[in-house]
Amino acid sequence: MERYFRSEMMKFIKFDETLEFLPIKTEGNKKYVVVREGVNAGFPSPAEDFLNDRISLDECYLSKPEATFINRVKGQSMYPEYHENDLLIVRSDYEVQHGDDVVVSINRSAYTLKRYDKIQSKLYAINPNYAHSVNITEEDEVILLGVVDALVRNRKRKK
Amino acid sequence: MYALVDGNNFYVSCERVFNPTLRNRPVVVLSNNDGCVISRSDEAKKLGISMGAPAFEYENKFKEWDVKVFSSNYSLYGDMSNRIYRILQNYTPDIEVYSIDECFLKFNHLPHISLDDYARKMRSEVLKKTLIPTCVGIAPTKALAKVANRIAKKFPQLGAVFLIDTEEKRIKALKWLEIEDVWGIGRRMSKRLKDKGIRKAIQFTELSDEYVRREFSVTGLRLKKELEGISVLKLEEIQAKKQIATTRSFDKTYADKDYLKERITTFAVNCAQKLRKQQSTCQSISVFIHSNRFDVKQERHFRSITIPYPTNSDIEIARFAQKAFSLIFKPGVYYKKAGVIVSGIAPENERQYSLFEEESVKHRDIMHVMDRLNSKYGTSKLKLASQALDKTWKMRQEHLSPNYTTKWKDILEVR
Repeated sequence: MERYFRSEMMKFIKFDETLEFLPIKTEGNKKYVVVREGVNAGFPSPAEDFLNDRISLDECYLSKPEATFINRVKGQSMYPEYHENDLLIVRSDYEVQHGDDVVVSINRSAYTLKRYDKIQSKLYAINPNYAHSVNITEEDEVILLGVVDALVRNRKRKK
Repeated sequence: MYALVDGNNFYVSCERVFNPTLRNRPVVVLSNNDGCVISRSDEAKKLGISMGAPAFEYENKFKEWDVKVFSSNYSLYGDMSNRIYRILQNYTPDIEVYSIDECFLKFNHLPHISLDDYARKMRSEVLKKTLIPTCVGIAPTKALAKVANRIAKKFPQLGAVFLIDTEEKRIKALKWLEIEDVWGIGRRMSKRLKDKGIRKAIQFTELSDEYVRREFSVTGLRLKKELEGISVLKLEEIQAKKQIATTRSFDKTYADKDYLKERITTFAVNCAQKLRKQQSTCQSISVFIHSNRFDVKQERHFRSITIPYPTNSDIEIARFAQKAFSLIFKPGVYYKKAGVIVSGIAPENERQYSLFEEESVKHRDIMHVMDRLNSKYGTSKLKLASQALDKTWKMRQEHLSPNYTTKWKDILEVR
């Protein structure tokens, strides 16, 4: 392998004698060239030009990290749609719409998961055994952490 | 125009985001090691609890008044601070993170809507997305933006936003502002000014340039110009892509967690020393561990941690490096190479220390002594205990809230 400098580019001789020009980068007084590992032995992988990042769940579900909270469901109040230990991806930038499930605090209670009924202006638990619903009036202080955007449920028991 | 956005009672507000039962009641957050009060809710302020009040002196009073007490949870505050920063970035590309709860923004082109409306929109977006209330002060200079912010905070009827955009408003503001509350005027300087009969900020601007320069150096003169509405302080941008690394390949492979942890600690201390040598601090620490690259399946683990405050202390950097390491270490893997990389490097004197005075200033003195002794008696005669004996330095955190946004086991539960 032979290398020598020209004015701006670096000549890099590969195994098969073809030339590749690589840009010289500078950082302060240091000049260097980025060389990918393993380029000087064997044949390049035909997949190399098609390498993409793996599918990322973050890309789908955490695209707005500044407006996303992750919560864990406890209890059965929203059963059967929500199970204990389900993970909720909650978005604080969404506007609440009729039928949305929301994480709210009512009059400074701890946060709860409720379904929003815009028409009757109430928040309710969907499990009929938990038949308490809360009518929201002007005087009530409702703090909205966010709207449930997605749900993650483990099908296999994890330790 | 410059804007200063800062979180109201920031640490308390962060605790309240995840715990609504804390609203409308006195809450305080203590400094590292639960030493003294560093953040108070309005209710706590009304009870007369002062900033910096020693926690042990107030222990009974806190109980009597039913004050909720928290240890500082910097992972939580750092995460909330990053969220706010991300939102503010959409409003201008020129932004300086001045401290964990303060950002300076520069508006070069006036948007089509008024700056006042723009600031209100920005503030309400931050409130909606993060549940953190903020105040915004806007003015032609950074020092005046700081003044405007103070006014926005002091007078609730302004709706948390205040602009100093006319000469009339500037003069009125400076007539109102006490000299000791001017940004950059320390206790000693304000005493000297008071001795000369200067009580309000406006009187400071009435002194002659020559006099101010002679008595208070060029820093004082710059401040005077800023208060006069002439912008001399620019945004300090975080230097990107600068990092310091300490990495080593081992003589053989190691699977022993304690051995590796000790090495990581030593590398971290090494990075901290390099930082201090060039009088810089870092804001992010990364740790990697690799198995032998000739293995059939090479193991490469990497983890980066953002520190909520700039530091160059051995103790802090080692602590975060150890934390990163324990997150990536896999039992049974034989490691051949490891390293610590620090980034987010900024000059030491550029950062603000006030909120962390207790922690940073103390460390600075310790580090200064360690550096001196080590240069006198040979390298690393004086070490952190964890370097040699693996004694992890432990902070006193008796009232720590969960890491709601950074730890799986701590995420908020809803019923």
